[in-house]
Amino acid sequence: MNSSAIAITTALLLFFRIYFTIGAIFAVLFAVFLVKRVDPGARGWAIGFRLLIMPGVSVFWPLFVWRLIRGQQTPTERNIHRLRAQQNSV
Amino acid sequence: MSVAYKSIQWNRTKIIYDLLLLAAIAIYLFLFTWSAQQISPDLEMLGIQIRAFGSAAFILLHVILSIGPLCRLNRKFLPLLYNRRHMGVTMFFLGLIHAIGFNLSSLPLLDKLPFKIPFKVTGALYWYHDFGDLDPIVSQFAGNTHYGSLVRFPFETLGVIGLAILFLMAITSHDFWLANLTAPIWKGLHMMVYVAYAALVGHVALGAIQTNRHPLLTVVVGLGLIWITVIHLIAALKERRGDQPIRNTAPATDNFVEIGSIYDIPNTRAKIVSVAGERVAVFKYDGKVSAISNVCQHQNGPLGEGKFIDGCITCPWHGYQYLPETGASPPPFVESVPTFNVQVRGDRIFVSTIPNPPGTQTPAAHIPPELEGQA
Amino acid sequence: MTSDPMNNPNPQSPKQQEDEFFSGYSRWPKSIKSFFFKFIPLLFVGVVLFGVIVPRVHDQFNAGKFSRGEFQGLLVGEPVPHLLVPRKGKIESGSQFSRYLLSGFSKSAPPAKVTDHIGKWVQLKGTAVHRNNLTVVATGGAEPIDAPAGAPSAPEPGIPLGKFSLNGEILDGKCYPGVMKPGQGKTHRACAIRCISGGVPAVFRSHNEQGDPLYFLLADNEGKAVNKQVLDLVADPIQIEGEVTQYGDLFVIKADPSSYQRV
Repeated sequence: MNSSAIAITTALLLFFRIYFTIGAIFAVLFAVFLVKRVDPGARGWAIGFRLLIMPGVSVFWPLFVWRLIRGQQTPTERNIHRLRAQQNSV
Repeated sequence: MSVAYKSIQWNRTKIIYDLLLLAAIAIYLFLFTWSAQQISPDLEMLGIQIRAFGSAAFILLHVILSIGPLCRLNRKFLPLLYNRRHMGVTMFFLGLIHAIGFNLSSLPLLDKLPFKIPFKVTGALYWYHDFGDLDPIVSQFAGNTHYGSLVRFPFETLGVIGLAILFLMAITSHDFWLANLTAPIWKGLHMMVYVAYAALVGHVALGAIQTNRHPLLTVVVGLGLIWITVIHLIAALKERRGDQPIRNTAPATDNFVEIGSIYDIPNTRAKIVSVAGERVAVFKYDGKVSAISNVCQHQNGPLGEGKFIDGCITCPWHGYQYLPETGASPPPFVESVPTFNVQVRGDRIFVSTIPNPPGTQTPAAHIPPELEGQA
Repeated sequence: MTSDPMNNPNPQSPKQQEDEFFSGYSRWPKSIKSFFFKFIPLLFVGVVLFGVIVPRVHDQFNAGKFSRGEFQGLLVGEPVPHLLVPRKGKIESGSQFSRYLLSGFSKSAPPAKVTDHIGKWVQLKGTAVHRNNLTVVATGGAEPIDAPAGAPSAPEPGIPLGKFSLNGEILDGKCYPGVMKPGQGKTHRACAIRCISGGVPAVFRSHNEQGDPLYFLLADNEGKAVNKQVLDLVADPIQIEGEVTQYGDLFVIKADPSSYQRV
């Protein structure tokens, strides 16, 4: 046990607490108001669904902030068939 | 599915699955405590619960990791895969209770009840680190920093790493996350379960096993590790054999490649071949042949191992469906996969090496009527 | 040609297998159903076996007990605060006192309300935790009292036993005898560090030739507590070479903590 380990741990804990606190506040706003803008599948008011995504949004909130700012919606995966199909259709 | 999200799309299979899962865990926890009490009647039970939940999570992790390879080896196991995510989330909660405990009376709303619910489990974090002169979490990470030594290695940190990965997997288990992260990234995240498994084997080996003197514990954990490794290797070998390039076929002409005979494919089923750098599922149904990309948009399941049901190609994993001539899911669903032009010359099937964009109308190739009777 | 038995190229083959397919939202095919009717009971047999056997292969349970009580005795401060309680009845073996180590109620040293009275006769309430012949009393305060009539006026002096080199493990004096299982070794290391850092007496557990545990209080060359100096060696197998002194049934080993060797 040493003081620098304690200092580093305390600092990291503070960082995570701030990150998750911001995330949790954003997650509530997102799940209630914003999720429809990002994902067209979020229709209606299924409360269970909105509660279920909150923990994840508290962690991945920067991704959704970015998508909201850029006005992006649910992306489509990129695999080799899809890429080749796209190239050939242009 | 891109109908409106719900928390869980309940059906009979999922309900039976979850009930059996919870019953198995309840029986295990009860027997563990009961069996421990037989050792000594006045045994203090708080520390026992930490082990009951930790071992339950570890055993369940072995079950979960076995499901994938078992399904590759025998398709009868597929129902276990169908609702595996509920098993994963349950396992995460068992691990979490092992780490930080659980007090039913302190849950929101339940703490407002006029009576206290006695169900309470102490977690390892408080049991070992609390009531001291340091924040328990700080003590957890700063108490032992001998990362350079195997014998003194802080096994608790390995447990935290495992639990953190399981946490990320649990919070992204809803289909919302498959859609928003896309299946390949989601799968990458969930493949980290193997990192978690390695960390947790280390957590058990450098913790419980290192302190424990009974050889059977070491043997059981060792056998578990060997079992998981061997079934994964066998399943991987089988997969690799299936991925052999097409042999004995004519060279590709005008961007079409011969993939075999119509007699190769049972009706309503598919042959999987590698075309354009990825697997393609070539289905035979209703006297026709169609080809679509083998990669299901939901969880990248193998469509070619699915079946043509009710006019749709149906994924074997979670039953996502695609129309064979467009690669699109029937409305209201919005998933779609690339399609491939197909020709049937004699009994031979030719597939275009250029995929069509998902949703493109791609006519199926008709099997000549004189051959159809034999096929 | 494919070798997959599922893709049967010959339509005349006897009894083509029914092409069953599982999807969660439709009825289960018969073959899968009958497979699971056998497989699920097998899983439950596994659950029962694991549930019964796994706790039995953890061989670290101890018979540590605790009991609440009131104790009267002479409070001694070094190397760590402990209470000398006069033994009642006929005293056969040497010492007139039982020696109980003291701690606070959490992972802490006994509070000032106790240590203020060092050197005096006191009465204190607390929880006694004991394992083999090691006893710790967790207490929150002490009241000075008059020396009871007939009590030995002073503790017997220590008997120097000479220099010894001992192998063993540093434990905390409270959770090891108490509720923790195993209370020693690596899995208990974190708890022992917190306890000893908080001021619970550090105890060195060694054993005699028969394998019976022997407990030693740790002291530096000046006879003072060593708690803060030994934190990094807690729960590791170590060797200590030092002067052993016997105070009744309590042994103290004096050595400079920097001379402790990991083995």
